[in-house]
Amino acid sequence: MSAIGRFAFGSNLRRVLTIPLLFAAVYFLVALFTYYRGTYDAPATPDLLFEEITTPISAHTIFTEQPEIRSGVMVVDGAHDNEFDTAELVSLLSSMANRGITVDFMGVATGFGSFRRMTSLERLEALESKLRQAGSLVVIAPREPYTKQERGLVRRFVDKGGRLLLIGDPTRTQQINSLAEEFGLSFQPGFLYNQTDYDLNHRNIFVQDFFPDPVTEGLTQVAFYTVGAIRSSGPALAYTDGNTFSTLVEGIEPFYPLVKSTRGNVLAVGDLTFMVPPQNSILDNNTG
Amino acid sequence: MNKISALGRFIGTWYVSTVLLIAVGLAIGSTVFFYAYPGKPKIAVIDIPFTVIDDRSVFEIGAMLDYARDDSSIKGVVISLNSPGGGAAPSEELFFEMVRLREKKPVVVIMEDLVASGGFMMSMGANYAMAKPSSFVGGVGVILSPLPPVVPFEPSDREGVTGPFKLNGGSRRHFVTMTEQLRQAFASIVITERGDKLRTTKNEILEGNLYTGVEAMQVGLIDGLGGQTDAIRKAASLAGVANYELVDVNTEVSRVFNEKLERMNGPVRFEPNLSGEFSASDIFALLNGQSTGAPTEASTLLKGLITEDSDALLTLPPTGGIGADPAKALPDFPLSIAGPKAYYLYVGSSE
Repeated sequence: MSAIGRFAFGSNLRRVLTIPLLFAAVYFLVALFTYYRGTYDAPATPDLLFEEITTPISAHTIFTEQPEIRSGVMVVDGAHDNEFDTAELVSLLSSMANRGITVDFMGVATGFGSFRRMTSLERLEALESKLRQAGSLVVIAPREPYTKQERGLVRRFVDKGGRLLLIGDPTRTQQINSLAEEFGLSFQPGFLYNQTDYDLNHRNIFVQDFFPDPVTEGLTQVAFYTVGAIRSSGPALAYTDGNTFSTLVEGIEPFYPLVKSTRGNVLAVGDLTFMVPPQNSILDNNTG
Repeated sequence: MNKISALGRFIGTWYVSTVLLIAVGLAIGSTVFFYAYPGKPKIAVIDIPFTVIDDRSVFEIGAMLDYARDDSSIKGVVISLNSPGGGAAPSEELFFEMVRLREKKPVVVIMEDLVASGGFMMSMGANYAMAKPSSFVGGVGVILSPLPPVVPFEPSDREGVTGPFKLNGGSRRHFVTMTEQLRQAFASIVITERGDKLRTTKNEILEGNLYTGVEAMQVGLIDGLGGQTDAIRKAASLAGVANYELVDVNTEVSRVFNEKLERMNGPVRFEPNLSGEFSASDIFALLNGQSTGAPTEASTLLKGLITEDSDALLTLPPTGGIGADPAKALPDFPLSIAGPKAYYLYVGSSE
C-alpha cells in the first residue's frame, strides 16, 4: 500500500492522473458487480433437419381382372340430394360395365355431375319404378332422409333378394342412417384416423384385417380416405388396427369400416373417396 | 482577487484536491459505465395482444424484435404473447427471428390466454417459455386451404398451359403430401426445440390438441408457470443482470416510427399546392396508391417527400404495385388468383 501511496501521491502529475483513473476503475467495477452478475451464454442453435422429412406415400398398383359377365340393372340413387358427383363413380361404373351390368341413375341429372332436387312424391314414384327392374341399389350420402314409405320399398326389394350398397362419407352431409338403420346398420359419427401408419395424412388409414367373405376375397390391404366406422347387427368384413382411433367414439375398438347386414345382401362402407381416382388405384382399393 | 486566490489556495491543498480528483474519477467511471460500456442493463418487454400472425403483424412484431436485438443496453427480452397463430410463412418468419434474437440475448415468452399453432411455433424460438395455469397452448399443426377438389375441374382450352398442374400447382394428393410435409416440419421444430424436456410423443403433439398451461407444463411443452413479473425475473436471471430497468418496446418502436413520420410529414404540411394538413394514414394511403379523398396529386406529395427526406422514405412500407390487388395488377388476366394458403392457426369450434 505504501508503494501505491508513494506512486499515487509522489508527484502532482501522477496524482492528477492516477487518482481519477483509480476511482473511475473502482466505480466501474462496483457498478459492474451491482448490475451484472454473470454473462449470457446463448444456446447453440439447433439444426432443424427439414431435409430428413419424409412423407408416407403408398404405391399405386396395377389392377387387372377378368370378371364374370352377368346381366342386370344397378340403380344409383340420385333422388335424395345425394352428395356425390357422377365423375366420382367412374371406377365403380366401369367395373359394373365390365360385368355387363347396366347402371341406371335414379334422379334428374343437372349436367354438372349432380342431380336436381325432387319432391318426396317424385322420389317415391321414381324409387318404386326403378326398383322393379333393379337387381341392386346403390345409395351414396343422401342429404334427404328416406321416408317411411321409401324405406318400406327398399325393405321389400332387399327381402326379395335385391342387393343394397350403402356408401357413407364423413366429409359429406348425409342422412344415410335413415335407411341404414332399417337393416340394423348404423354409420357412426366422426372419422377414423391413424397417426402411425397412413397414406399421406392421418385421415387416410389402412385396413389390412379382413374377415373371410366373398366381398373381401383377394384383399390384403385397403386404404380409406376419411372413413367412418359402422356398427352392424350383422357380420363385419374389415376391422382396424390398434393405432386407429375415432375422433368421436371412444373406448370401442377395433372399428369396422366395412360391414354387412344380418341377411347378407346389404353392404355398407364408410367412405366414398377410396374408390375415386386416383385413390382407387392405391393398394387393393380396386380389388374391393 | 483575494477571494479567488484564497479559493485557489484552498483547492490546492492536498486533501481538497484529492477529494476533487476522486469526484472526477467517479464521474469518469459512471460516465463510462452508464453511457459507453456496458450501460445500465435493461430488460425489454414486448406486448403482443391477441394477434393473428400475418404479413402486417410480422412487420410490426419484427420491428420490435429488431429494436430489442439492436439496442445494446437491452440484455434480455420478455414477450407477452396472445395469438392463435396465423399464416404459415409469417409464423415461421417470427420463429426464425426469435432464434436470431435468442442468439444475442435471452428471450422469455409469457403466454397469455391463447398461444396456439403459429403463435406456439413463434414461442419455440425463445429460451424459456412460460404460461399461466389457465392459458391454452399448443395446437400444433397445419391447415392447407383450399385443397383441390376430389374430382378435378374440366380443362379449359382457352389458355395455353405448359404443364398438367401449371394452373393449380398439383393434384389433390400432391397438396395432401405438402400438408404432411409442413406438419412434419412443425413437429421437427417442436421436438428439436423442446429436446429432452418433452414428455410426450410426436404423435400426441401432432394431434393438434390445445393444452392448459398446467398440462403443457406436465408434457414439457413449456418450461414454467407464472406471470409477467416471473418472466421478467427469469429473463434477468438468464441475462445475468440485476437492478435492471424495464423498456416498453411497443412504446419505443412507436416513438421511433412517429419520429420518422414527422420527419416526412414536415415538408408535406407546408407544401404550397396542398390544402390542409395530412395525417399519417393519408400518407400511407397515397403511398399505396389509394385515394384519400384529398384533391391533390400523389406525385406532388411523393416528389416533396423524396426531395426532403429520401432516406426516411426508404423505411416506409412498400409502395405502388407491391402488395397490390392481383385483379388490379393483372387486369387482363382472365382467371382469378386464389390460394392455396397454409396456416398454422387455431380456429376453434364454431357454434
